[in-house]
Amino acid sequence: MSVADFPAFEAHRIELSTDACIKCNVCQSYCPVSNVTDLFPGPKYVGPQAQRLRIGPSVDHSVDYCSGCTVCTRVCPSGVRIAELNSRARAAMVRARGGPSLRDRLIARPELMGQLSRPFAPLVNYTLQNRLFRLALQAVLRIDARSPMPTFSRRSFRAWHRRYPYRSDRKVAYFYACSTEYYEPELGEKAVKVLERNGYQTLLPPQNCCGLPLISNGDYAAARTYAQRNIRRLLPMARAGIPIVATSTSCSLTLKQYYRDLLDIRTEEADLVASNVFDICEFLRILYERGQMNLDFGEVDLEVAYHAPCQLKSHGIGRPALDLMELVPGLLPIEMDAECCGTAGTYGYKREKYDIAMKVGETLFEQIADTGAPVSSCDSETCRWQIEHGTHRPSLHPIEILLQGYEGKA
Amino acid sequence: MVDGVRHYDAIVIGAGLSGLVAAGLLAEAGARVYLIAKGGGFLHFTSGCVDVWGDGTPNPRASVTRVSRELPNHPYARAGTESLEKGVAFFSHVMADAGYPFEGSLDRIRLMPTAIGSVRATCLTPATMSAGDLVDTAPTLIAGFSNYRDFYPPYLAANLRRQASINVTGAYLDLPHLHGRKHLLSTDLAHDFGNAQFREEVGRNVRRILGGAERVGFPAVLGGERAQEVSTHLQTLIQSSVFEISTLPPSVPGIRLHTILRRSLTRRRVRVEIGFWTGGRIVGTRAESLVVRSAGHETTYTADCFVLATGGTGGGGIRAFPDGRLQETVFDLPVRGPNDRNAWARAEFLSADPQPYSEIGLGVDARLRPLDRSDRAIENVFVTASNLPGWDPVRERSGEGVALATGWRVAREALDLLGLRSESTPVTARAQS
Repeated sequence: MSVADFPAFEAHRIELSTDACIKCNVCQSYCPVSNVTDLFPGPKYVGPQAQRLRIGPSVDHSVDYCSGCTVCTRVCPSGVRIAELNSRARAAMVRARGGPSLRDRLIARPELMGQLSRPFAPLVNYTLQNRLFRLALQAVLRIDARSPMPTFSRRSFRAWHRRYPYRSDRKVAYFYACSTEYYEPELGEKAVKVLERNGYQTLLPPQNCCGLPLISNGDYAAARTYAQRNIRRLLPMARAGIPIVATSTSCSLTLKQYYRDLLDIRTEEADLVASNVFDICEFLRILYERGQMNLDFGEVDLEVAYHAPCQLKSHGIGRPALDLMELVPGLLPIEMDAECCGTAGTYGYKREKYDIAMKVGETLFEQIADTGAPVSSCDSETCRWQIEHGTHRPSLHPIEILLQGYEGKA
Repeated sequence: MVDGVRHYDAIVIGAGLSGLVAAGLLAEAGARVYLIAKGGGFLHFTSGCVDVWGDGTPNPRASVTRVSRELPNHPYARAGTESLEKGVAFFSHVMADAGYPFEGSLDRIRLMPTAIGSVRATCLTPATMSAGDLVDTAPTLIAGFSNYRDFYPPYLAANLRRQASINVTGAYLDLPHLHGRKHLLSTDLAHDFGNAQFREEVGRNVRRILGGAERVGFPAVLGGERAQEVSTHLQTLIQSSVFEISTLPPSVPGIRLHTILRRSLTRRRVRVEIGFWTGGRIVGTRAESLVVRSAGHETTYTADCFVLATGGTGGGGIRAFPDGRLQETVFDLPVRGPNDRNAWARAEFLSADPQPYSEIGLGVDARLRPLDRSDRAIENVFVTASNLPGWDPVRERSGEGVALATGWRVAREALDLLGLRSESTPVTARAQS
């Protein structure tokens, strides 16, 4: 019998993991943020060390400078859930302050922003490109004027999909996420086409923002509402045994893991949904392993600098995008080993954090430039925007590159 | 939908020195390799030097030959002396190709100062440490930083004067650049040393207090993987030899080894997965698969062979329970060693005699394959370093030597099994650049 066998342990698994810390400092040496700024003392101090003192009010406000990249949890040899401790500590701090700031409330709701902006997309985009407006936004809301703001799309991915004719007995549900619906509908379209090439019809169950930006900004209560709604909406798919695939590895990690581990949603329904969620490349790789993947690729003569985003690494599924890209003749994906691009979702958009995010990303930007590859690739959208911003060359989702292979052109 | 099954030629479990080196050798010979470890890797806690045998005898190679003859259960004896040489050659090639050369020879120990001013016998060191060899008795200045903990130059110098009878003084550098900073870790300073202006500031301040010293020792924080460049620049600025002294964790020289070895793996298309707990499955006398607890569901990996480089009792490869039970954590292989908790250690913590816990490890056959409960060898699993009984890296100062020897040997065994071995393979080691 160990402490893990007590029922109460499950509910406090993250907090209790603190006791396993042996102060080995390996999280400190990996932390991309504390390595570039003194404002964040580092995961060991803010995580397990401060945790021992968190019985009442928040003891360490520097936890707000944790970007949530999760590398600390992965490298801990003792199983301390450092990133999760930090996320919860931030949520407690935000709660004690009476909730997130106006800025954090806004940037944590990409879906709402999208809904409000779509009817006026050209005007909004024009305004957002305007330097004076961005400076005003920076002054009023402290959203950094230099940060890579995505442009709103006038088209709706859902609307496009309604008219898409492909039908098949083999079906997947697609969790396309806010970025596909409001910013990058073309990525969703390409994902649908890649799935079609493999004989799968894409279903779009009703869905909403996964809630990760709310979690990252410490608004657990709102995130829980989002989560419950998604679980309710995705449950019929999971019950019918229809795999739920996602093109954003951070959204899919939220569905797979954070609802349970961070938001304490431990229901059979939530677990069923979680176990049916697959990163899209993970899903295609399963098809490949079963000999069911369409390998009819044309030659793509292209070098691609591939960055595995932090949240993908936390899936524990290896590098499915690399596995797939290696199947395309001529394509040469090169894996970068820099840990993090720096932006960590909404972190790099904040006035007080933009410089930190760019410093964190420097190593990756340099590595990408050193390859000489004309494009880079990454599975998460905000990382791609940050990488484009830092390298001045396009960054594509691996699915877009696979579709190039299917379409036989570079 | 069932979970995916991935198939590789070889799966290496563990990201310490033996695992990283075995994976590198396998990949270089053309094997498809997957490496998984449940934490960031043991090298972060090591000195960054290659210890081979450090009991005070002057010739490590001769000591290893003697040990191999006298102690048939020692990993050196099991791996064979050729393995040590080839493992060290491969390691040195990878480091040199990354611009971080190692110096020294298997035929002579190097006596290096530690962060507390004791003298430590090692074998190969990064070139950035070479000038610190205490065989050379040139007058020395030890420089530290006022807000960097765990490195106290006056204390270090006083101890070193006693132990090595050399003319050595120690001083703190109080640098304006470091004023008002958080308390610094070695990794923070290594980051600062990447910056030429910071180096110039250090150079100016050291020049002022250099006196008659002919060499200057710093804590091992002179930059990340580009330490060789940083150290050369500092020598120019100070106009004297410069050397690094290994520090307490986070140990920058250890981190460099991890980073360089891991980068050489990703360049050879090895998939490296850090951070997950696993369980393996053996059917009969063959290991079939490894299950990784991925987010939301499990992912199963299969392979033709497995390298068990999980680090023994210290690294998490063998778990010791309060009741004295010992468990191998991946395949649940039987563990040899005293299973009475009280019999694990002698009363004297730093006993000159072997500690009983050094007998804890997996039973293996002549090819380093683990034995099951009926003493049958598991035909496609190979065991390295700390998972083997019969040695004590702390007492012998043999940690890296054993890791390199067993890492090289298991890679050769695995390549034989895969039918991939070519005679020239391990010596023509070249990291791609």
